[in-house]
Amino acid sequence: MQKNVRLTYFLFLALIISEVLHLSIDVGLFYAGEARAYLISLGVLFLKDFLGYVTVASIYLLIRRQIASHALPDTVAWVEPEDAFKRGAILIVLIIVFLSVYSALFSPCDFNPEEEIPASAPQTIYSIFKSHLTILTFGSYLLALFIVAERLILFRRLKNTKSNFILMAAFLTLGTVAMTGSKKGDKINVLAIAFLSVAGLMMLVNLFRLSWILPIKRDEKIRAIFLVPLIIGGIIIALDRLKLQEHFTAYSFSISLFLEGIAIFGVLYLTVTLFSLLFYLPTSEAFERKSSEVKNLYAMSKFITDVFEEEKIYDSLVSYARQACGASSSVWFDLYHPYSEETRSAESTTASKLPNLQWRDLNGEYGFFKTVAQQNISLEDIQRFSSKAGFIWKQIAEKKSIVRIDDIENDVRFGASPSALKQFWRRIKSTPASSNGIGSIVSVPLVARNKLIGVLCVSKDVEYGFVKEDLELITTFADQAAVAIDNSRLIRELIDKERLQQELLVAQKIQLRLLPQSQPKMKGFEVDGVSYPAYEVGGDYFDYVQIGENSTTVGIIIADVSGKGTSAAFYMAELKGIVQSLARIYPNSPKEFLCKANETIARGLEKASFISALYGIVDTERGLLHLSNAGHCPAVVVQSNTAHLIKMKGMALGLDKGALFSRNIQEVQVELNIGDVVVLYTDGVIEAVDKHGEQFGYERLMDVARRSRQKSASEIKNDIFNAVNAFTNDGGAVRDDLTIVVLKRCHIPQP
Amino acid sequence: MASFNASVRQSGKTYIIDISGDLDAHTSIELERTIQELIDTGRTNIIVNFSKLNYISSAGLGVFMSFIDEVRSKGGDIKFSNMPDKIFQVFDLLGFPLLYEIYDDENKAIEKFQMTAS
Repeated sequence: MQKNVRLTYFLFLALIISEVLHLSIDVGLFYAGEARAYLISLGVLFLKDFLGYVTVASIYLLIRRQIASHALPDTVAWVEPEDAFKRGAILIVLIIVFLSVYSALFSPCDFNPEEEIPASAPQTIYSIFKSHLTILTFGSYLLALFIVAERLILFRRLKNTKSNFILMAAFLTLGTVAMTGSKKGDKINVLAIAFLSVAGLMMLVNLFRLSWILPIKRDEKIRAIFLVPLIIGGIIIALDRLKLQEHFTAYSFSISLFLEGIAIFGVLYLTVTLFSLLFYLPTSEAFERKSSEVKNLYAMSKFITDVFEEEKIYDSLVSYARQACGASSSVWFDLYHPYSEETRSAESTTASKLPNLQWRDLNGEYGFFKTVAQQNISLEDIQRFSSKAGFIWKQIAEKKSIVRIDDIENDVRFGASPSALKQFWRRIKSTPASSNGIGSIVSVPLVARNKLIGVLCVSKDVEYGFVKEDLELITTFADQAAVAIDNSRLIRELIDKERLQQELLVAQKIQLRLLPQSQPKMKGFEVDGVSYPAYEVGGDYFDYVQIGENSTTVGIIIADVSGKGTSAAFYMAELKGIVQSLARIYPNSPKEFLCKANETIARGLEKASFISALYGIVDTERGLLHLSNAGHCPAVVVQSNTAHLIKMKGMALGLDKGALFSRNIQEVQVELNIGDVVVLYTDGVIEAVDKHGEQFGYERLMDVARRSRQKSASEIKNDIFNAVNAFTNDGGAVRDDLTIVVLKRCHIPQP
Repeated sequence: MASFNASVRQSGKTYIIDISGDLDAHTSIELERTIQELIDTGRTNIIVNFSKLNYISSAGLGVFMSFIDEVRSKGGDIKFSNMPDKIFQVFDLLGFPLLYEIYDDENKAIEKFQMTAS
C-alpha cells in the first residue's frame, strides 16, 4: 500500500517537473525565437520531446492506476462499458467547453496559418499555454480512452489478444520514438513509417475484439448507442474544429503522432462498437433471458446441494421460479400432507381451521395442501382462487401431473361456457380483479421417489402467459427442489434415527443397572437370574430384596411390563422403587405386598399398560417359600424328580385399582426340601417358537428343569436358556424379553 | 414380518371384529384404529372374535384395556369370543376374565348384547 502511494506521488512529481520545464522552454523559445525561429538547436528539440514523453508516460500511468484501483471486483474489464461511455461523453463535452472558453478569453491563441511552419509561429503567448492545456486535458482523455479500449479488447481474451494489443501499442510507441527531435514540417523518416504502418495493421486486427458487448443488458446497450456517437463526435470536433491537432504538434511533433494514432484507433473502435451494438440489440433480450435462466438454474442446483433446511428450500424455490418467469408473475408453493393412519382424524379437523389450507380431500383418501411460501400474492388471494380451482389440487394429488390453464376466465373447468361469442363478451367485461389478477396458471407437482411432496404454482396476470420454455424451466426447478426436499427429509430421518439409537443405548444401560448386580446371601439357598431384552430396551424385571436381619428372609420378584421400549423401561424403574420400599413393610405376606404394590402402581400406569408379577418370600430358617401371583406365568417347582406348576388366581398389576384385585389374589406356601428347585420366568420362555411356529411351552420347561435339578442354580438357569435357544434356532424366534430366575435349596455346609 | 388383519362385521346393533394373525406391539396399532373408528361413530357394542388369532402379546392386550373404560361409559362393551386355548391361557393368566366377558361362541355374545338392550 505504502509503495503504491509513493509511486503515485513520484509519478505526479515527474509529471509536474517535466511539464514545468517543458513549459518554460516553450515560453523561453517564444520570446527568444520570434527573431530566430530557424536557429533552434536540435538539442533543445530532443529535450522538449524527452520531457514530453515523461509527461505523457506519467499521465498514462496515473490514469491507468486510477482506473485499476477503482476496478470492479472479479472483472478483467475494470470498467462497466456503459458507465465508461457515460463518463467519456461527459468528459469530452467538458473538455471542449473548457478549451473553447479558453480560446474565447485569450483569442487569438492559435497558430499563424500563413507561416510555412505553423507550429513554430504561435500567434500569442496564450497559444503556448493552450498547447500545454490541450495535452493535459484532451491528451489525458485520449490516453484514458486507450486504457479503456485495452480493457474492453482484453475482455474474454483469446490466446493472441493480449499480444496483438501490446504489439499495436509498442509499434505506435516505436514510431513515435523514431521521430524524436523532429519538428512540424519535417519529413517522417523511413523507420517511423515502417513502425507506424505495422501499428496501423495491428489496429485493424484489434478493432474487431468486441466480445464484451454480448453480455451487457439490453437497456444498457440502448444507452450506449446514444453515448458512443457523442464521444466520436466530440473527439472529431476537438481535433478538427478546435484545431487541437495543431497544438499537439506544437507541443511535440512525435507525441502528436502518438496521440493522433490513439485518437484514430479510438474513433474507429467506437464506430465498430456502435454498429455492433445496433446489430446485437434485437437478440439481446433472448440472450439475457437465456443467461439469466442458466444463472438461476446454476444457483438453484448449487443451493440444493448446500441447504438441508426444508423451509429455506421452499422460499428459494419460489423466488427462483419468480425470477425465471418475470417480476409480474406470482408464485406460491403448497406443501402436501398425505393422510396417515394416525393423523387422519386429527388433521382433518385441525387442518380445516388453518388459513393457509388450499385444498383437502374430503374423502379422506389423499391428503391436503397448505401454502408454505408465496411471492407477489397474498394468502387471501390464493385462498380465493383455490376455492374456485380445487380441481387443480385434486388432479395433482391424484395424478401427480402438471396442470396448465391458459385462460382462467374462459376455461371450461371453471364452469365457463365453451361458446366463442360468450367468451368474447366475457373478455370484454372482465377486469383483472375478477380473478384475483390471475389470467393463466401453471401448477407443477414436486415428486420424489414417486411420492408427492407439494405443488409449485406460477401464475401471470395475462392469459396465455406461459410458453413452452417457461414450463420447462419451472419443471426443472420443481424437480430439483423435489430432490432437495427429499434429501433433506432423508437426512433428518437419519439424524432422528441415530439420536433415538443413542437414547435407547442410554436407556439400555440404565435398565441393566436396575437388574440385580449380585446374588443375595441366603443360608442354604442358591439363586441366580438372567434377563435378555428382545429389543434395545425391554420390559422384564427381576430383583431380590434382603428383608430380614441375618439374611433369613429374602424377597424375589419377577415381572413383565406390557408393551415394549422406553415406556416399559420407565415403568420398570418405577416398579423397582416400589418393590424395594414395600418389601420391608410387608415382610411376611407376598399377597399384601402385591395388593399394596398394585394400589401404588395402578395410579401411575397408562390405561393400556399393566404389569404381571410373581413375588416370593423365602424363609431360609424354615425352608419355606411364600408365593403370590399377579397375572404372571406360574412358577415351576421341582421336587424329588417331578416338576409341577404352581397355578394361582390373580390379576396383573394395573388392570384394576383395588377391590377386584385384592379379592382375587391368592397366596401359597411351598415347603422346600434340600435339592428342590423353583424356576421363575417370563412368557418369553413359554412363547418362544421354533420354525414350525410351535411354542416352547410349559412341558419343555418343566422337563429341562427336572433333568437339570442336580446342578447348581446358575447351571439350571443356563440349561433352560440354552434349551430355549436350541429350540428357536434354525428359523424360530424369541418374540419377547426372556428372563429366568432359579432358586434352589442346597445342603448347608456343616461348620 | 408377522401378518395381522382386523375386519368388522355387523350383526344387528353389534359389531364383530375378526382378528387374525399375530397381534403384537406393531400390529396392535391397526386394531387400535379399527376400534377407535367404531367408537367415534357411536358403535360401542363390540365383539372381538379371536378364532383366527395366532399370537397375542402384552401390547395387544393393552389395546382392549385402553378402550374398555370409554366404551363402557358410553353404555357399550367389548366382549371376547371364540378364543383358541393358547390365547385364552394368556388372558386367563393375567386375570382378564375378571374384567371381560369371554364366550366360546360369538352368537352367545350377540345374545347377551340383545338381552342388555331390551
